[in-house]
Amino acid sequence: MVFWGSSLFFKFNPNRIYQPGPSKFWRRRRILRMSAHHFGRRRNCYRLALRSVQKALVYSTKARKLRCNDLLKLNGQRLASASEELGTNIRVLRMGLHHANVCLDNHMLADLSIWEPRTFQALSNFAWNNYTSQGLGDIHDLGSPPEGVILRGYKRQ
Amino acid sequence: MSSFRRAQQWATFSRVWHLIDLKWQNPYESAILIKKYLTGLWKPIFHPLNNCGDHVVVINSKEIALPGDEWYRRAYFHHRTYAGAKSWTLAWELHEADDTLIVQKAVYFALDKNLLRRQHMARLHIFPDEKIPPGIAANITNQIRPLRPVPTKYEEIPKEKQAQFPQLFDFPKDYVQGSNLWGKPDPERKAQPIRYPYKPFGHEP
Repeated sequence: MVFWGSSLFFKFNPNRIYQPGPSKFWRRRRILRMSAHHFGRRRNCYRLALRSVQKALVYSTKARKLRCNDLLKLNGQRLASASEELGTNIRVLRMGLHHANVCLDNHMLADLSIWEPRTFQALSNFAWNNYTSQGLGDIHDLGSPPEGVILRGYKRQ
Repeated sequence: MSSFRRAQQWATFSRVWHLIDLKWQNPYESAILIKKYLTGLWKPIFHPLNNCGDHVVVINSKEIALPGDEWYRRAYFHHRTYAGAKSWTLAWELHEADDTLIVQKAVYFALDKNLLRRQHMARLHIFPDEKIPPGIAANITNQIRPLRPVPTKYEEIPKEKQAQFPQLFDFPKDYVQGSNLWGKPDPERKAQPIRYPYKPFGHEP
């Protein structure tokens, strides 16, 4: 049975005098596998490959945070435009759902607005009515909320 | 997938044509609004890399309004890449040479600086007045509400109504009524001609 996976990178050579860790070949092989998709001499020359691989790992570490930020912005933008299409805004939608303990995040709501527009419209109408009935914030610009929504227990007495 | 659903999906990826009337609108404020439709920001399927922008038809670009004395303060820089060939054209001069350029540049500045920028600009159609070619007018399906109401000029009000206004004070003797030269540093300066496409005269090489 032959393992061609990452176990080879830690292969111990028993013929060598005491030298801990994998042999020089496999140590280099580990870096060169990671630079396999790089361009030019950075792909095959070890000295250059090492530098570019280390930089690439730094980039990917930073990108984890940046990707989260980008997705947050994108979902916020999508949700804002989806709620503006229906005549409300994202603030009314978020607060209306928040006060009814509807725990859907921006990502899920944005997906609903794309793939299930009627469900999203129902949620949006409910949030708008809920927001209005509780007398929250400044909603005079939006006008009266859409009819046909029954609020049980949310209406302020 | 039913035939209705399929048509719905086609509508999602089609390009809508919007109309906006820029009469008495600030082009730099309106550019942010136009950007929303040009880049497709108003759609829930928006992504910065998917090319989902719409067409925007701008009319009455001749009658835009810049705030304050910005007509005489805002300068458009241009360099023709020859030594000493740099030039600064004031907004009122540029507007006299070409009625559409200020709107075009305002939208161009408002758009994000990426590879789609020129494609978005290609979907912007600017017309100095209300005349639109029938080929473009046939496509328009939506009108964007302008940001500000269009004010009525005192001269446009009929004489009978003007007479009904109470006169609260008398103007001073040296007051020039109806002057459009407010804030103009040199009232006698005339607009310099520019080349089209926008190549202002500077020092020739």
